[in-house]
Amino acid sequence: MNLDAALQTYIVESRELLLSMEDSLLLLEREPDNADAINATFRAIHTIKGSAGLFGLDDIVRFTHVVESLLDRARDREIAVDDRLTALLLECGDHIGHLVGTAAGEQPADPAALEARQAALLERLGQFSPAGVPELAQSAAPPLEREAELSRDGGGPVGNGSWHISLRFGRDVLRNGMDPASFLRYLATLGDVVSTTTLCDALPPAAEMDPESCYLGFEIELKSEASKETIEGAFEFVREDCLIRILPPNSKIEEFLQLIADLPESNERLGEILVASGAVTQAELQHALRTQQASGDGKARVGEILVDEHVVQETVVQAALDKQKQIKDKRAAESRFVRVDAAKLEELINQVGEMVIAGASATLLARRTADGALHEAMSLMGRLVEEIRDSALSLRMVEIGETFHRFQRVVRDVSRELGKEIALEISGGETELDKTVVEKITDPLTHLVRNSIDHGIEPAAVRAARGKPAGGTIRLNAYHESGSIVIEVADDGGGLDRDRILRKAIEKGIVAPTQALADQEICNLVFEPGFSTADQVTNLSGRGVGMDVVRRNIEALRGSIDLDSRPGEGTTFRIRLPLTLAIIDGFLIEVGDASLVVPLDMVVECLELAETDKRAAATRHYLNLRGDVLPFIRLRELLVLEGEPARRENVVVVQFGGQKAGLVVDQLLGEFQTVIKPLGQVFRHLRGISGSTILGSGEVALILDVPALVQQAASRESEQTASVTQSVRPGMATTAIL
Amino acid sequence: MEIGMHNSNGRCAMALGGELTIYAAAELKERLVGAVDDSGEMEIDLSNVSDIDSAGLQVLVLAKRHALAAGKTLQMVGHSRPVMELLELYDLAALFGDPLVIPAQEAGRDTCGSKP
Repeated sequence: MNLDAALQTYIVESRELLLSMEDSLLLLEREPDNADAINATFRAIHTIKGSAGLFGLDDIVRFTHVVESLLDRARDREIAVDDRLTALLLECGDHIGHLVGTAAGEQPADPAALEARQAALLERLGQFSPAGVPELAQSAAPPLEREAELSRDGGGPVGNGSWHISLRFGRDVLRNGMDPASFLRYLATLGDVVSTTTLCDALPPAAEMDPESCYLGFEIELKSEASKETIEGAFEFVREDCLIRILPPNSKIEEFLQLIADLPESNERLGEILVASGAVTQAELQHALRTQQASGDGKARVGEILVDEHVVQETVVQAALDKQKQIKDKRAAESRFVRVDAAKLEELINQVGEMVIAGASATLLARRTADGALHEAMSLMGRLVEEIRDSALSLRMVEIGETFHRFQRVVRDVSRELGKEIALEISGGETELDKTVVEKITDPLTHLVRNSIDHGIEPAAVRAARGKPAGGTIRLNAYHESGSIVIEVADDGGGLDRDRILRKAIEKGIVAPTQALADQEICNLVFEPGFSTADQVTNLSGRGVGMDVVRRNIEALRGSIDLDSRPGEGTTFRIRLPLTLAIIDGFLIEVGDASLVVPLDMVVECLELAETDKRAAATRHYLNLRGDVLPFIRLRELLVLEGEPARRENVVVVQFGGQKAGLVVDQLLGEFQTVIKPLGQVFRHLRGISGSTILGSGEVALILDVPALVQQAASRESEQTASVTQSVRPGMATTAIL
Repeated sequence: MEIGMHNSNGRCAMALGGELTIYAAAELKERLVGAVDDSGEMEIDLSNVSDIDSAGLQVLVLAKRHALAAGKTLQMVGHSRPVMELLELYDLAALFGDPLVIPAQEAGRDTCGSKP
């Protein structure tokens, strides 16, 4: 086994465990009595510690051991779960995260700080321990597995029960030179024989009795700390022809249940689980399995046989069965997922991209022939390529829920820091989007959420005065909309203060004092560089990361952001992102000699530019679409393409973010699978074009940036109709793009 | 194994000595069962038993049961230390229902001076 790879797996799994532990802790904070959550937390720490031991990560073992002991006592209700405890455990989780990071080879930013933090945490953990500081001293020593076991036993020492041993010696025992008495004597050395009952019922009448046969049976109560294995070992030599039943004392059952619960999840068989916990010995299991085979019909179950034969109590078998189910479930869950190197996936998608292009080229060539069979074959292949492309892309799709979930912690921490009571509501967590997008969206989202907590939600007193519930709410929502994913961050706070934003914008020279702006435009000013309304720079915001950075990050993903704000009711930030960054379904159009691609998801409909509209278009930039105003753009003019417009022009109606616009083009060429090739650095600042692609013929086609075009069409239209002053506003360039 | 017997008026006094182990079990069974069959009342002196194992004990149990089944009396007296130990280990004293005294070794020998 490659240890490096195993370590990587450990690190990944530990991080997942820490995340799930965080969830459990946050749940515990709300429901301190939730036993499942405590158990889940304990299991997470237990697993992290156990696996860390395998890799010799002593730092992690040492620290997690202390946390584990504490959790164990919380589990036994020795210490109450309260806010103080969950808060501490959350911090411990963070710290373990750092330790795991260090194990992964990350250089801690400040090793001294890390150590200091560990010491501080250990001290706080120590405050929960009954003996106070001594626990600390103990933790400094390398932990011994034995220690943990002892403390576990400490909860319920074996003593209020005895082993019950049933012996029925075989007839030949005496003849084979063994004496039951010696076994009884040996048992006495293992513990305290509370009582012995000798059974002579098997003794036949005198005439039939063979004096050299053994007819004895015993029922023995033995008080002992020895394991079942050890006790059974006493009968090693007579096991074959004797009936031996060793029933654990009741107190031991508790221990078995505990052990079964703590077993690593590697055994899948009931018998193995029972043996591993010590409730059943290997020999007993073998016997039961033989019995099962002998019964032939296969109906008898090992668990039932074991209980019937009084080898083990039913409760223990039940616990083992539960464990078995748990393992099976986990196995099932594990086998449903395969961990794949992201680079491999990336390669696959690139290859699929190349295949799409090659397929398009083949289709094009096939069209030039009159071979019907070839056409048919190509269309079938085209469909398959399309399916493969979709499947390949869906491999990278992940649900956004997990990302959303992390904000529970952010909201909790930040709201505590600010002394605000804020709840996080999550919806649309099942919405899927590209993994690479998810990774890049986390930072901007964090900023928005922090911003909403900090600036959005008012202090409780203000809320009360406004007649709102004292606790604020932040909502995270996601949904799909025409080929994009929309992520909303909403708060029920005070909304944006338009006057203050405008004042500030004028102060900073972002807008001219004379400029008349719509409410929406004022709100969007917060995304301008160098803009910050925070009167007081708090710990949270004002870290030099403004809304402009958020917008830049999102635009880098070919997305957009806008906001809706109602005074006194709250603010909603809306992020729109493309579902994937690699391949899209395109709609191929032609203007003059140039081929252009519009993402198909954004195309609403196509229509012919009517003669009346054509004439009207000379003076205005909108047309009448079934009674609605549809602003349009002549791509020929916009892109400054040579040549006369075709006699018959078409309008492609596109939609983005609730706004529609028409694109006037010469020809519609139909659907086309498009592999997006990013534009070179030189064209990075080009607006209106988001990328390029290669057609089957080898020609290059530009992909239109529909969001930018729609925005442009809308703003130009509103400018003209409202006759606003022509001063150029930032971010709203109105002139030709190329 | 040594066996001494003394019969008078249907009452049998038997003295067992030496090793009552599996090697003597067959003979012991035969003699004991025979003695029980032949007499109405029986007393077995165990004071000279130097060793006894489960096989020997089993035969004693058999004899006791055999006597009970026939409505006869069988008593064991003067249990030597090895006998006592085994009875204790098996917790079988009650089965025999004989008074168990913990005699000094010599006292044990003297009580039933029925040695032939």
